[in-house]
Amino acid sequence: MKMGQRRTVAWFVFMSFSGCVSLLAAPSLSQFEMGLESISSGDVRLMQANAQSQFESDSLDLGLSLSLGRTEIEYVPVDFDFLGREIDVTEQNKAIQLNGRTRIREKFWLVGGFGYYEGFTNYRSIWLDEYYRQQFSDLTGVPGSELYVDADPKGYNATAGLRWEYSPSSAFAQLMISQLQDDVSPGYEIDFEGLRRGELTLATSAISLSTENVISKRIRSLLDLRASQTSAREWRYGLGVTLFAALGEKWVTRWQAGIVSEDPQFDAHSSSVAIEYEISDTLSAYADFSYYDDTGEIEDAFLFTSAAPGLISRKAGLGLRWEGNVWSGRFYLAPLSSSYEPTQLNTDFFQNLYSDRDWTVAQVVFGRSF
Amino acid sequence: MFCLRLFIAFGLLLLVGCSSIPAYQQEYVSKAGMVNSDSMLESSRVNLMSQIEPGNSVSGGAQAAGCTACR
Repeated sequence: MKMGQRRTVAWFVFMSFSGCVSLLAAPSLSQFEMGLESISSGDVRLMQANAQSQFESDSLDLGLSLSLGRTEIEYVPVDFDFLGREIDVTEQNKAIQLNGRTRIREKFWLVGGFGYYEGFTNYRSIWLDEYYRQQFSDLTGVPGSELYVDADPKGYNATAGLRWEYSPSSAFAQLMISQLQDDVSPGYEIDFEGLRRGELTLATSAISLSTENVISKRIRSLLDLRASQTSAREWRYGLGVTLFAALGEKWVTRWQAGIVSEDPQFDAHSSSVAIEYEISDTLSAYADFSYYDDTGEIEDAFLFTSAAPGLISRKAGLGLRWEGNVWSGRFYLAPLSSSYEPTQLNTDFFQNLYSDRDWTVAQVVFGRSF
Repeated sequence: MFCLRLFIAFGLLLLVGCSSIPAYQQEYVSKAGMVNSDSMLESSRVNLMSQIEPGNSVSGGAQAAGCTACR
């Protein structure tokens, strides 16, 4: 048995054991939520339905979430792509995630979770899969043509960790280790030696350390350090800081900033600010603004590359939050703009994928407490 | 550069804090918009945003994080 397989089996045994312990402790349903969200532009429409349940007891918390996604793309190749043709592409995906934590000492919790998904996880991989299908699925007689496969993306993740409530009800630190495996839609290249294919399966190891603190009667902070490494790539490091501050009886603000870096050349920065006003005991309204930029993806191509150029996105939105004794809800609407740097000679085939877009973000969530 | 890093490290340490605020004094920090939560109601997270801003998903899986080594 290979090392990777042993690790997978170990994760499975651990999570099965955790699941059995959970069932014995029989926590009761405390919260159920359903949400619908969409992000749409002229040629790309993303939709997702989410349902999640929270089960709680004195020493055990469990969260089960399900999601169904649908992506619609109006695929249009560039004018000089003589093998390409316009087509409407629709893909669906589904995912399940179970997370739990159980108290093992007065201040310590054992935390774990696992999840599984099927289907493309982003619109960009769907667009690229269609491009590769039109270019390389029918290359009879070309060396390496047998390497082309119909994509069947799916993957799983398993997570385990420890949570230390070093100041009960006001501060904790949490260390998490994760292992992920993804069967992806591979990339292809062709040259005088024939067709070449990228990795079919990617493995990711990740570790995170987070700490949340109530640092005054009006301020809560969250600090999150993350590192992950995916097959054939360097380590990616991330730092996130979130501050929640109550400005008065009815005003609260949220500030977030994050940086991500991966050698040799990927850097991303994000920041957001939100302000929320309590209209009544049950109704609040909020406005937020967020900014994101990155330097573009790392590419290791021989001739042509699908790597995304640098990206800047901005979003400004308005939301309403309603909190009843039993039922609650939230509604959010925001325009979003995303702008890519111009493509280069070796990425010109993807001009229509990496084009500037104006999006509309919409989300509605309902929940019931028990 | 060293001073900047020192300043950032000091700032992050301040965020961790060392005081203990008793639960009965946490009225403000327990409001719905003041809580870091997996709940879709209590947070204002939009899951699909990771498709638009791929760098924000540092450990969300190879695909969720976007492709950073593409052919």
